[in-house]
Formats: sequence, C-alpha cells, structure tokens
Amino acid sequence: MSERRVAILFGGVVVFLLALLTAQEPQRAGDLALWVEGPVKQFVATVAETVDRVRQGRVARAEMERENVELRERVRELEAAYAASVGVRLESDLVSKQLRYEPPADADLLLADVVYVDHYSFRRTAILRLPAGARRDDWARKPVTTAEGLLGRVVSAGGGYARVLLVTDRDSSVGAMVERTRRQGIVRGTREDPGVLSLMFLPLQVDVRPGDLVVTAGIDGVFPRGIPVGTITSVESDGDLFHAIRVVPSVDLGSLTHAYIWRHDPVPEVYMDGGDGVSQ
Amino acid sequence: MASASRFAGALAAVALVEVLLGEVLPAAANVVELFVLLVVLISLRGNSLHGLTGGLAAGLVQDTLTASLFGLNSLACCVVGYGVARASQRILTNRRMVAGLLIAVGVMVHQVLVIGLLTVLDIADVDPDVLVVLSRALLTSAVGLAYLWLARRLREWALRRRTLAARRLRSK
Repeated sequence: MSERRVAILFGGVVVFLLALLTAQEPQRAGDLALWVEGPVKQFVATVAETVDRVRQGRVARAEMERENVELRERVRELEAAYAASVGVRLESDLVSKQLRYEPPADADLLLADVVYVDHYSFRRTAILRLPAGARRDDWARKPVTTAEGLLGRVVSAGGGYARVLLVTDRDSSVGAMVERTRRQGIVRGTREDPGVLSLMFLPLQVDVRPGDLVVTAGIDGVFPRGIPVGTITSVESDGDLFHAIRVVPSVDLGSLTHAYIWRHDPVPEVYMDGGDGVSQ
Repeated sequence: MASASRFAGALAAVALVEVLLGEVLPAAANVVELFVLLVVLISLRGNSLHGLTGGLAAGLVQDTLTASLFGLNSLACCVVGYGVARASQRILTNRRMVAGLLIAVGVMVHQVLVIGLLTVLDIADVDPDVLVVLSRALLTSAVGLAYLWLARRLREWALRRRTLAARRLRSK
C-alpha cells in the first residue's frame, strides 16, 4: 500500500476514533462542536447581517429620497394653498370690515373699488372704479370715506372712474374739530411727511392734547360733520398765536381696497365765497 | 504473517504483564508504558502501515484493559505508531541511542495526547506533571533499550550456537 493511501487510512482512523470518543461524551461533543462551529456561524451571521444592513440601508435611502421628493412637492402645494388662503382671509377681513361699517343714519353711500393710490408723490390721489349703475351720476366734490374715516373728496369723474384728492394732499383742506373740545380748525396735508396731517388755526389757549380725536366739523360745505379724520400725536407752539398740531390719519393709506362715496350733496359753490382753500 | 503472529504474541505478553503488574504492583504498571514501547518497537522495524495497525491494535487492547474512554489509547497509540514509522523511514534507527530517543518521544507524545484528550473532552480533572511524563519516558526508554540489548545478545548467542553446531558437523 502506498504511503498516500496509508496517510488517508491514518486520517480516517483518527477521525473515527475521535468520533468514537465524542460519541461517548455527547454533551462535551456538543460543546466542542459549538466551540468549532460557533465562530464560523458567528462570522457567517455577521456577514449576512452586514449585507442585510447594507441592503436595507440602500432600500431605506431610496425610500427616503422618494419620500423626500414627495414631501417637497407636498410642501410646495401646501405653501401655494397657504398663500391662497392668506389672500382669501385678508380679502375676507377687509370685506367683513366694510360690511360691519355702520354709516350715519342719513348717509347714502356708494361702495367702490380702490384701483390706484398715490400718496407719496406731489399730487396725492386715489382712483376708484365706480359700479356699473352709478357711472352717469355727477360725483364731483363728493366726500369719500372708508370704514376707518375720511379719505378725501372726488375731484373728477368719468369713464367709470373717479379721482379722489386724498386728505393728505397739501392742497386738501378739511374743516375739522377736536372731538373732545369741539374746537374747530383746518386739517391739511404736510409737505415734509405725506403720512401726517396738520391741524391749523387752533389758538394757544385752547386745550389740545395728544391722543385727541379729530373729526370733520361740517363747516367746509363738503364733508358732513363727525367723520373721523385722525388722532393728534403732538402739540407744539407755532409762533405767537396757534398750536402746531400733528395728526395721524385714521385711514391707513397703505391698505386701501374699498371706499365709500357719499351721495351727500355739497353746498353749491355759488353760495360759497371760494378762494378760501376749503371749497376747491 | 510471521511478523503478525509475533506481534500478536508480543501484544498478548504485554497485556499479561500489564494485568499482572496491575494486580501485584500497580505503581510499576503506571511507571512503564509497555504498550507504547511495543508500538514503537514494531514501528521501528516496519513500515507506516505496520505502525498504524500495530498502534491501533495495541491501543484497543490497552483500552480494553483500562477503565478509561474506549478509543483514547487507541488514538494515541495510532498516532505514535504512524509517526514513529514515518520517522524511521527518514532517519537511521539502527543505533541504540536513536531508538531510545524515539521511544522516549513516543511515550511523551502518547502522554500528551491522552492528557490533552482527557482535558478537551472534560472527562477527568487532569493535572499534567512534566516530571512524571519525563520519568515515564526515560524509564520506558530504558526498558526498551534493555530489551533491544537483550534481544541483540540473544540473537548473537543463537547465531554462535548455530555456527558451533555447524563446525562440529563438518569435523565429524
């Protein structure tokens, strides 16, 4: 018999005897098997776990990327919907404010859209679009207000639109009075600040305080009495005779959407002296 | 066939001696590894197959006579027999010192395998003592060398007798 065959036979005999020995100690044989088998199984399990983790990671990443794209799209949709809802809510608030406005009992008002506002340039005006059924009426010199207070008066109308001279314009003069003391003066726009009015011709001895409400006095032949004009913010002495009073308009010119044109007829110009600045 | 029968006879003699020593002088039975000695001697004179089969047979007999796990000494003797047989094919074993060294190494390998298997299989709480192992190896080796010296003397004596007998026949 060749040495190779003897070596194979030797190996077989050794394995057989080892099996014989371990068969007589099955518990220990199991431990030995585990001792040999354990690390191998652990290695295989680790490799399998790693491969599975990598695979799951790739799947999860692909899922997350897909979900991310969907979420971005959803966010865009929601942002658009939110912007639309905000616009609707603002519009609703403005309309609600106008609807809740309670005009004087004898007032006859016409609701018009504000389509143009220029309250910073040399001529501070606004343009209203008149309703279809009211475009042939004469709107010249009619007072214009909002739910907050006085906006101005119509200076011209035609083609379905009306131009309004804002109360803040420098050429605008409104007969006004301090609501608390009923002392009257004239409110005009200022050159230096387009958002501030000036209440003129109130003598120094008159009690005027910051915070006092200024309303129309109804003495200029155009504006009815009692329409809010603004609130006094500062009172200073202007020379020897009059206060220098600054008034913040009641109307926020930066958020105009609708305005009311009063059908109230002003005093005809023929009854007024003219040239006093009030009846322009 | 003759060598197999001689091996069988030697194995039976060793088993008988082991049994007698175990009954009469147990300490002496543990000191000398006669089965390993027999395996090494048979492996020194034969090829690897002889070493393998001789080791297996001697180990099985030893396992039968001892109360340990069956197969423990068989495995150890098998390894020793095969190993010594492979070694004897590569080195000159005619010198007594080489034979004695192989016997000592074979005993030590046998002891290491038995102790190792007992420990791994957790069969007995073995406390291996290097001095005991070395002393067994040395004593077994000494017995083996004595056997080899005695066997050589016996062969020489037998050869001289045959030579003298032949001369007498020629002179007559």
